[in-house]
Amino acid sequence: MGHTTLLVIVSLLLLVGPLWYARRRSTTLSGYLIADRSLGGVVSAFTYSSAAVSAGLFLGGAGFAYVYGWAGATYQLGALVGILLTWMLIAPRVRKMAASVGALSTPRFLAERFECPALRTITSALTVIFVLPMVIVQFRGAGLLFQNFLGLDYTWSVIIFGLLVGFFTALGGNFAVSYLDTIQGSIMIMGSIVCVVVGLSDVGGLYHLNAQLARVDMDLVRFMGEVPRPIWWNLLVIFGLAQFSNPHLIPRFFSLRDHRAVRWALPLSVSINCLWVCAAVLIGLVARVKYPGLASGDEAMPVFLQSLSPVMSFVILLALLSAIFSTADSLLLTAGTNVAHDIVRGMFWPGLSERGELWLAKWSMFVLCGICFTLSLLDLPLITLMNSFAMGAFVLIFGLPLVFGIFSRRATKEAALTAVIAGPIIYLGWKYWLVPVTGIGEMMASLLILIPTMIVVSMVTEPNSASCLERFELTSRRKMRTVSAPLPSDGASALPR
Amino acid sequence: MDGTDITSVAFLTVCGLLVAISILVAWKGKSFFS
Repeated sequence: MGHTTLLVIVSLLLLVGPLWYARRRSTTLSGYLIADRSLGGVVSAFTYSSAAVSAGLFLGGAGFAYVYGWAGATYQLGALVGILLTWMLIAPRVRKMAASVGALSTPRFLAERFECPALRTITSALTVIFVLPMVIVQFRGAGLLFQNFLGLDYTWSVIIFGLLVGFFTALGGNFAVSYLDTIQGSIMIMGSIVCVVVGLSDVGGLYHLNAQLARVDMDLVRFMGEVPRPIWWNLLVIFGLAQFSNPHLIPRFFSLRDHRAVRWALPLSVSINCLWVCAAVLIGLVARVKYPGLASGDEAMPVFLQSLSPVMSFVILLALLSAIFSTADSLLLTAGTNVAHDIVRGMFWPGLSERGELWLAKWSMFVLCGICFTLSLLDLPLITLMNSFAMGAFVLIFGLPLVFGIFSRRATKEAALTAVIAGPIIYLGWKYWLVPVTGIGEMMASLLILIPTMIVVSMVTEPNSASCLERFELTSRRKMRTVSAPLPSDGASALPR
Repeated sequence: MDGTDITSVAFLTVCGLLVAISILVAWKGKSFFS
């Protein structure tokens, strides 16, 4: 049996179990969108980590390490610290608050917190606009993977992969996506272990790897190497903050069952991501020593794969495909949720029944998937540009309002709107006009401008109502003792459903 | 270990520290989560 046939069969078999498991659990809107807030720590850690890491790490990250040496690894420390702090500080609060107000999506969560329906509309529209290019890039990655490694036609690869992702996500919802992510994450762990073991034994261990890298170029073993400083700092900060800002990651905290699930998910997420980062970086470094003349860093992984035995290269190929699939289905689930729950029901059709919304969410995902794989077949530079901009934009659109919203009682809707509307504009403007002049990266500059602005705006504008702060458990302790009114029941909402 | 190993050792030490902190917080830091 050839590589291609085996890969297709194994990939299809992987989808069956989670779909079967989810078929009866995804019949309600809450079950379909956020798995009824019932996921345990292990599944949550895997679905969060698999959704966060795409083939970008194993192909792009390895390529960056190939070009810049260990400097291609050190900026990833931002992501690892970000994951630790996200599970320690953000996830527990978001889980509790989302459950207490019955939020099913991030735009709705923010709108409830800031008592601002407009925030729901704007953030859901921006999510769809920026998530779709991210899905398209995943589809392109899958197409190139099939084309380069299996010799399949690019167009057919994208169509088949797109149909699989679309059907799976639309039929299974969050339950199926989360359990498949757990399986795919385990495959990624296996692939990473293979990479680490084979990579290190190929070069005679870490000591010899460093010695050989130093002989090629001393900058390859330096902490920041030849990476331009503004870019290194920018990557460190963006990757750190993205861990709680991406709209397909935040709903992972809504699905958590209880505080025990968060406690399990914390060390698991950090450990899994450390392993994946080390594996990706090692591939790039080993390729640099063994194959020094590659035309581009992106060839590091393909060349490394070709040097392996068929069984090992199959495991890594399956791991790469898993990384792409797990990110694409999470992104699609988020976009479909936002279209059905926040845009159609939130803006145009508040009276839509739960059954109708469930049906609409499924069709939205399938239609969005169709749009994505159609656009994947076209060579549109705008898609690549928007994808590169998306991660930074989400830090400003979701990250800042989320942090202000869950930690500060004083944060107001005007401050949140400032970040959501002005954030992307400042980010883009700085990136294109002011980075060359100032030498300060666009993310650092945007944060330095927006955080003080949000604080000032919060101080001079009307605070949120006491009932809102009470529902989010943001009332001061002194006031909480004097509050005599009963707390609203689970799922109480200030916004129309 | 010589000068060429410093970055890799620092990187792996930070990774190990992050894992250790996460285990310690999950094990002992109940107040973070409840």
